[in-house]
Amino acid sequence: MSEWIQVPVPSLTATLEERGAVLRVTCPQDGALELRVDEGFVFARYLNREPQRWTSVSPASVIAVFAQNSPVGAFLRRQGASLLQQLLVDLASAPSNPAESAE
Amino acid sequence: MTGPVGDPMPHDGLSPEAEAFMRTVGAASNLPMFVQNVRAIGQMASNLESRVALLEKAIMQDVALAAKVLKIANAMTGTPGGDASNRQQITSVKQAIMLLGYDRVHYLSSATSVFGQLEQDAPAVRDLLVESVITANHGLQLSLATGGAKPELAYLCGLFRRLGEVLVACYRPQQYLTWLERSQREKSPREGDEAAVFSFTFEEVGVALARRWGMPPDVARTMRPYRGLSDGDHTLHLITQCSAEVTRAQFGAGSLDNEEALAALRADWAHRLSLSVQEIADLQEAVMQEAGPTLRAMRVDVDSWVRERRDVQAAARIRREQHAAGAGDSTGEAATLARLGEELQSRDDDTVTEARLRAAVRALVERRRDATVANDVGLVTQATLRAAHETGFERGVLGISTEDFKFVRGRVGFGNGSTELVRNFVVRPSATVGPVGAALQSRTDLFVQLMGADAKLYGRDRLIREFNPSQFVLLPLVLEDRLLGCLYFDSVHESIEATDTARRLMQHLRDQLVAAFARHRAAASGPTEGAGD
Repeated sequence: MSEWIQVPVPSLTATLEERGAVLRVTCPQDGALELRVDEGFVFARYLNREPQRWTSVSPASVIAVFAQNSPVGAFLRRQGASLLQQLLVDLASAPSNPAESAE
Repeated sequence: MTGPVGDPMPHDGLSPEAEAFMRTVGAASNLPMFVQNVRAIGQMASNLESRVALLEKAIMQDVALAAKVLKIANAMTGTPGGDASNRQQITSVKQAIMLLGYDRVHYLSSATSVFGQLEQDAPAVRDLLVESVITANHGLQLSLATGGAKPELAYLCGLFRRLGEVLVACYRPQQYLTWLERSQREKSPREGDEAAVFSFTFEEVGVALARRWGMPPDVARTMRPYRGLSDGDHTLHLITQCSAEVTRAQFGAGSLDNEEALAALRADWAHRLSLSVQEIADLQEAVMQEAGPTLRAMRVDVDSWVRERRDVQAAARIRREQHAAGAGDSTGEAATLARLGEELQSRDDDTVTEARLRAAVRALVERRRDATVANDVGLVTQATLRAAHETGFERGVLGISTEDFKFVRGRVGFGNGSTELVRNFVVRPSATVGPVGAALQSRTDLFVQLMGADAKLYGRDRLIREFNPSQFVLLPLVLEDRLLGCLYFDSVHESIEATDTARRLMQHLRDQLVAAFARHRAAASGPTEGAGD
């Protein structure tokens, strides 16, 4: 499977901007990041650093976004994010645990 | 953090059976070939252009997958939610990769492939995923209604509430289906009852995986049934349990299918959550509305799915009633055997064939009465085939349905060239393949002499053309509405009398075999079942 991108839970100072199907998150610490949902799967890309191409987001970081009750979670949910499905696909096809790769 | 998926490290507190199961999760031994191929692309090519070419080639090798990738790509670029600047018709896989990006197409095509295989091998997973999404949204709405828990966290806890069960349905599909059938036949199962089948609980493996994946403690904690005490956020636990129970009662395969029971369940939870019964009932519309985007992304037509669940529940209710009637009245089997006993008494006007058949069926009924040998399907099969042979049929075969019920394949045969007959006996139970397939699909017994119109009709059938008999008998084996397989007997040279009595006796012969399968299945789904798949 392709690489995962780790998405930080946006801080309270982050600004969120919905641009159609894309959410742009701008954090003073992490720079600008865009998120989108395709077919229930969450993808992200950074604007000012790598990866700048749309890359699948690790389920562990999406779970963290929901667990922190972040508005990013609400956006992903409304866009049809299917986290359980993504977890099953990654579990079935990933060579190792994404939680481990976050370390 | 945690070890890699599938590592053999022991997990604290897990039973050996649960540990053995956890080792199979994520072992990726049954990955679709496509995923195995595309995994290697990164190692085979370092530059993006080569990788795009290899990915395109891999996708193009599977016509159905290529069509799905194009459909997905066009849906993404052509819907109002897509990038407006990219709205154009995508007609090639390469174009899709260039427009959407290598990584997105790589991931989405792999996911499509994995789910294609899951749908085929583990059909129950889809229903569990839909129920989990509904549970998650129920949790979200309850948290908003009570103001007692973080809504997105409540969503997450609801989503993963049945993670263990989802994993078991994915990685032990056959055993899970047996469990589902059993739970539909008997009373509504309580959480933990599955240990009798799997030797571990769904909760056990769900919690273990949640820990392994570093999920928030609240997610692991609320996977456990709420039993009046919670060592963390009490309301969150209540909300998750309520959502799981209400969703299961509404849509679960083994649910109560009973409006009164659902109302009582809602009343119970309304009391605990300090809401009115009406408030809980009124949440349902918002739940289904909020679940819409995710279910649409999963390509689930909600209305069709709900109708399907109603049918499943109705069928389960009938099975439970039949089971209860059977369990409560042991005279059912006794009455059947008594009736058969009378019908199978020797008759002076029997032809030689009829007399032989009658004696064979009578012997099988006697065997059915004998509790020590009754469950042996092998013995009954041999006796059935032998009886057909003695009746004059030159060849015969017992066909058994494949696990997915898509084909009936020869398993045991008798007569000249029986090995070849068994090998070549493959029928799809579908009217589209010919009259034999149609008979299996509609569970119709066939007694055919290949003369006149029948010769024309059945002579077109691939199987009959290949075996070229002068007459044949086809008897579907049906148990609980499922096609277990069939008996096929034929004759090339001999002419066998096909009187009404002989036909009826052959059907009795078949019924004894089905009864043996039924008892074998009942014994297999007993408390000792579940040693392996």
